[in-house]
Amino acid sequence: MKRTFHLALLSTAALLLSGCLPEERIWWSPKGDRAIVLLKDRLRLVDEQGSFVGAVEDELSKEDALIKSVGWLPDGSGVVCQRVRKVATWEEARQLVPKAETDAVDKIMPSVLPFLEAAVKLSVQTGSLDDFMESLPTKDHERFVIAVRRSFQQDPAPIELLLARLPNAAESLEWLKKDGGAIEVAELAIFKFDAGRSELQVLARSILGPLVLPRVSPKHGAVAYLKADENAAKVALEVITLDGRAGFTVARHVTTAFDWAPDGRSLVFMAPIDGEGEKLNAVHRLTVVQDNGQLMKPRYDRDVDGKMIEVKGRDRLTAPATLATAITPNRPALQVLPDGRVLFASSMMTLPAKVTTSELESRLFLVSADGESLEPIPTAPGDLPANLGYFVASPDGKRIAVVEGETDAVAVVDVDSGRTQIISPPHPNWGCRTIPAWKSAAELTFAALHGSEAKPAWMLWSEVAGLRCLSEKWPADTMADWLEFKKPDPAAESVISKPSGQP
Amino acid sequence: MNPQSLHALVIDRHAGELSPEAVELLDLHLAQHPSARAEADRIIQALHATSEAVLQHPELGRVVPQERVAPAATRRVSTLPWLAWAAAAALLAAVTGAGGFIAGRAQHSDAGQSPVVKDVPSSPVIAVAQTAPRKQSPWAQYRMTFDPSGQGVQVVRVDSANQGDKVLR
Repeated sequence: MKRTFHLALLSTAALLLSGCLPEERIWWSPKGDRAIVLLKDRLRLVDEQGSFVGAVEDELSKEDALIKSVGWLPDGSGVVCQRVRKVATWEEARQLVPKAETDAVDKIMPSVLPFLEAAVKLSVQTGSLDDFMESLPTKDHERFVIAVRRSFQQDPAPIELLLARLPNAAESLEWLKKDGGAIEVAELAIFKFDAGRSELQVLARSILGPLVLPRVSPKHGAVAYLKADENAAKVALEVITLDGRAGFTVARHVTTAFDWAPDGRSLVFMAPIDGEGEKLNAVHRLTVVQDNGQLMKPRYDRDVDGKMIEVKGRDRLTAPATLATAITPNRPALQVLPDGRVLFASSMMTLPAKVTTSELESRLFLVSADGESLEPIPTAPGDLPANLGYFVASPDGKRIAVVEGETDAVAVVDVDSGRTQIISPPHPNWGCRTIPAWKSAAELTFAALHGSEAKPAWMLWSEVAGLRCLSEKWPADTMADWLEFKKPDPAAESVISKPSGQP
Repeated sequence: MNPQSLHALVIDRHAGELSPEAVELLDLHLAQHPSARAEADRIIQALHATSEAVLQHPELGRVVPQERVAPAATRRVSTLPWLAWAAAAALLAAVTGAGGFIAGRAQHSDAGQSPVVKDVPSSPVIAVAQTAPRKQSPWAQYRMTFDPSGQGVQVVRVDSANQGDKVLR
């Protein structure tokens, strides 16, 4: 049950973090004078020489908190971070999370025992936990899981009796008793570093889905982030003010690719065109913050007769403008450059084609700031990986760092000319697991093999000064997961893709 | 509202699949139309009766025998999950006719207002000038092929520099 009950969360993690593919582990402050780095699932604050500073990381590394991504405040005084913490009882959780979520759990409480009984009846025939979960006559698994834990806290006997009929009852009961039945609460919080003290201010909480990838508006007091639905089927783009008092859903079904425009008022994001999957996406732009820095008001409101009508005005949301369409078999990714142009990747496909000779190719494209034109960055064939989902533009928007998961090579592309230089060559059987991060317009940091033992290290590159290691003094193996060594398998014949459902 | 739309909306709301705005609109409609309200109540009663029946007789939930899916442990796990997307995207593109890169530009028209007509290129396909290929690309390279056994599209890694010319079926 543990595995299956956490299926939704795991799927979400896979969706958001892409599992064994490159992920964000380095976040430089806006001034580039310090950075947060993710080392063995713990966030550390380091200075520009790579030395650990302050005791802040102890606060950010609470055992009951799992923090995976951060977004710096524009003034560099702190970060907005995500975390998951456990609260002991339902009553405690009820005080923390939105009423709509507790109501959703309340509503399903009477169904817990009947639903479990029905699921047990169906799944005892096969004995599979997966079958058990699929047999639950509810599709809102996360709220059901919470309701089960809450019921178990209140009266464990009926649930123990029911689950005892499953072949793996012990595992199920062990999961229910773990942490005393604590409930996980996802949080989005501001963590201030300055003023000689650490200060945590929670902006949003949820028990039904993780709140991830916070990105702070560069000009106004607003944070955009993603909220996965409880069944991990899709993620929504949300925006909230930095005081946590106002917020709304920008789009209900998006990809993980989104960014603020340089005016700090508009969000640019990729969303699936067909509503399912992330292969054919549209790039949208929507203004969510007013001129005065307040969030936009809803697009619809009630008229005097109580009917819902669209209201127009400078302070009202509109439909998003669609800037482009892209084929994204790789991880959807985009970034808004300082001049307002939108950078994104798309696969190149021309049909009809002889599929037997069709080589996969992806390119980088730029939508002009006014959304009126679209141009490819003039790279040469072979300059960019086919899996073009991991790139980061420099703060001045003039260069782009590119990596892929299959090799550990790092390239830097000049935006205007398309000239591409490989600043870190590939090493056989090594794959990149860390997305590079720009310290400044001229300095890039990334993971690469370094030293006589050729171990993963945090490197700083600049065209003028060349390469320098920033992690020389770090404890051994702290960066073991920044790159991955894949054991060569001479007999391997890996089927990479098959039609859906083919074993 | 025609009966089919009403049925669909009531069932979707029961399943929690309607947005809050849509729920509000539906409630407003039901409040203003007693006959629709009565029909909605009838549908909800039927849904409850169905749920009860399935709870009492779980075997009713298994209408069609399903083919057993291979257990996860025996499935071949893709080491490059994005490539599964690649093949699927190719199929998708073929099905939808989305050949090449489609540079769509659109501004959703506002309700009650004529859409703004803008100058658009005669062809939405972006032309990409080809320059001389890089002599030694460091990246993994792939080719799509059809499975000889006719089971669909495969992706083959074809670069030899880093992979030893390994064929990834």
